Amino acid sequence: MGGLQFDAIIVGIGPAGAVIAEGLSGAGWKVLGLEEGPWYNPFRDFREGRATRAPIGITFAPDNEVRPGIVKAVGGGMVFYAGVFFRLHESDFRTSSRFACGADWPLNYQELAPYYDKVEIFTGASGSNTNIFEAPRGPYPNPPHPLSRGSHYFVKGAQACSFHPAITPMSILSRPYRGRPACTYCAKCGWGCMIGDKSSPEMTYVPSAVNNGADIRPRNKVITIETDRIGRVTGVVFKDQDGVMQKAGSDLVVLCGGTILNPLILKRSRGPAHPDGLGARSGLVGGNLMGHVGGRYLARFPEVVNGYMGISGGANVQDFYDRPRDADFHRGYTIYVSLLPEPPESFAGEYLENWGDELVEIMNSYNRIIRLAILGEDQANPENCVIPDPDKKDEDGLPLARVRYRRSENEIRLFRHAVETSRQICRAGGADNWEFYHDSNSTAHPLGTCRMGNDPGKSVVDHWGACYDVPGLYIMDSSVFPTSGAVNPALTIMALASRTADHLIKRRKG
Amino acid sequence: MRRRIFLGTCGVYLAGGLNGQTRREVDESFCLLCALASVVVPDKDPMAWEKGPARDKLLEAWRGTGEKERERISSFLDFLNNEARKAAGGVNFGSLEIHTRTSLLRDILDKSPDLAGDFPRMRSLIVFSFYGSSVGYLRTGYIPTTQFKGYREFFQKPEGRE
Repeated sequence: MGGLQFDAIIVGIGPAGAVIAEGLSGAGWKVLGLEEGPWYNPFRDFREGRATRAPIGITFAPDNEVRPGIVKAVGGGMVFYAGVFFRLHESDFRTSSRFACGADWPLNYQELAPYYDKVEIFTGASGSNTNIFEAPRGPYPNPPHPLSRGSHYFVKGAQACSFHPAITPMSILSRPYRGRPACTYCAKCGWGCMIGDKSSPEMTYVPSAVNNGADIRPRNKVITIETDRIGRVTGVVFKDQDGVMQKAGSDLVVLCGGTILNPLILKRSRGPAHPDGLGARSGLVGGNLMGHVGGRYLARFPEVVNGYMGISGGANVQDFYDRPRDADFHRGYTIYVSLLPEPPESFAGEYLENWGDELVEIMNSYNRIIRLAILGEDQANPENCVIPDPDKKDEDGLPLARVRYRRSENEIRLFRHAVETSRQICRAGGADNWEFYHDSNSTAHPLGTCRMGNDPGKSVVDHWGACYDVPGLYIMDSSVFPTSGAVNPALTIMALASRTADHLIKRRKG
Repeated sequence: MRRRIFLGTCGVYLAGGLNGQTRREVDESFCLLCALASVVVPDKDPMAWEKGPARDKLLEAWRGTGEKERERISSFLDFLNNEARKAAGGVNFGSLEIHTRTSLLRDILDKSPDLAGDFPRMRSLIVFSFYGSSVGYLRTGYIPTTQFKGYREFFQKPEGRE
């Protein structure tokens, strides 16, 4: 293949791609990182409001019910995320054998734990190791953030219900760490952290990868992954930021384009040995799309809590993480205190539908309202999928991603249970009878379209992320999750990527 | 944000460039909109929609609204006014007592699904104007935490950020 040669080409510099780029370049590899989105300068673009979540061109099937929100940017979705940084639980890796639902992961918690530690230390995660539902673990590199008033009410209510509230782990610095400052609680995490305390990849792994010599190129779109006559990876064809088609060669390509875009890249990368695209043997590329069972519950307290200030996370309850005894659904959920939408016009205009005295009554208590996030485990369904849109194409004539996701009765029941738990906690904490809740018709956590597993007939990649059909191709990001868990996936994505980077380095050393 | 400000400014210039008759129609519609606003967000200050920051903000939003959208809103407001006249012996919607205005609006929304479908547009315009103004911040006890200018405050829904 013509063009420059690299030891590894990484497609997509989100949380996974950034970690792998940093790991491989740190081992002295010549690494090319291609990212389709822009590379924001946090201290200029976020501060001046230049950073936007550019539309990425998804279409939806007529019966689709959930819209995934994803971001193309160096740093990926974490650029605009709130910073919640949970680990999966031990039980998440064995849902099939222990709970007769979902699928077992091809690795267990203990195998991933050292990489959770590694990522937490690198990013300066803050938290407390007192959550009794998590596997035993060491201390966090940074102490927990102070609890907001709303979280205090939440904790009080949860304790009154005999639940076990815990501090929510965050990838936001609670004190200065490795040259970055502590959080100022400006509540703008969701718009891009302009202080530099949120440990998203553009502030942590990407600068380190660049220091190691990695060649990170924003606004470079990978068109296809190239393979040779016998099916091995030889490199990529991409459109550079000037719109010129380029080629780069490598016998190792790590695809980190995310749950929605990976299936498209794989399916359009046809070669003599892969006439139906890459990873096609299992027939699972694009299938088993998951999003968390997500929703919000709002409650009102007697005194001012200013629920829109500070950071999300606060305290959480995971008492129903593994299927509650009386449940009519599979698996369970996490509830944690998240930020109330601000400013108030946004809350009144986009959240509420009331008008007249009803609206005024709610809005006069705006600073007494807290918002809880409900995050439940989704059960994979092969019919929930991402496919190339048969009609609509992007500016390069490539099919857009077409998403089809239908909610199941299981999700509806789980959400109902979570709402009841939220209500119980808030009322016990002193909330009045006003409440507002909704299940979300969008998800920031699309997962699972290239699932990993031990059986090549039932999965696309193995436990390292190596694609069963294509020597030299690794897939490593949210798309490989066999189950969704009931926590935000960012830390697990990064830990899996770190583990794969280590594996690749060791393998090359022989 | 810049685009929004730009469009808003264009709207102001457009309204400024209207001929006399159209301008009068726009002004009449705006008066009706204020009367509706006092029902949608009834403030403890009865003058809140007659002068002050909420009214100013609504005027700015109204002027920045596209022509088609404004026509649609105006026809809703005209219908509301006609219904008021029918119900109250020729009295305009804006001259009715606030509780009469409220019940009239409720009746109309209950009876006409088409109008009920249009109502969220007006509600949105009014709610954003009131709760995005200094008087709205005062009523909600909101203290802006933004440290720097330039954020696109409500360009995107707050969902999906966790």
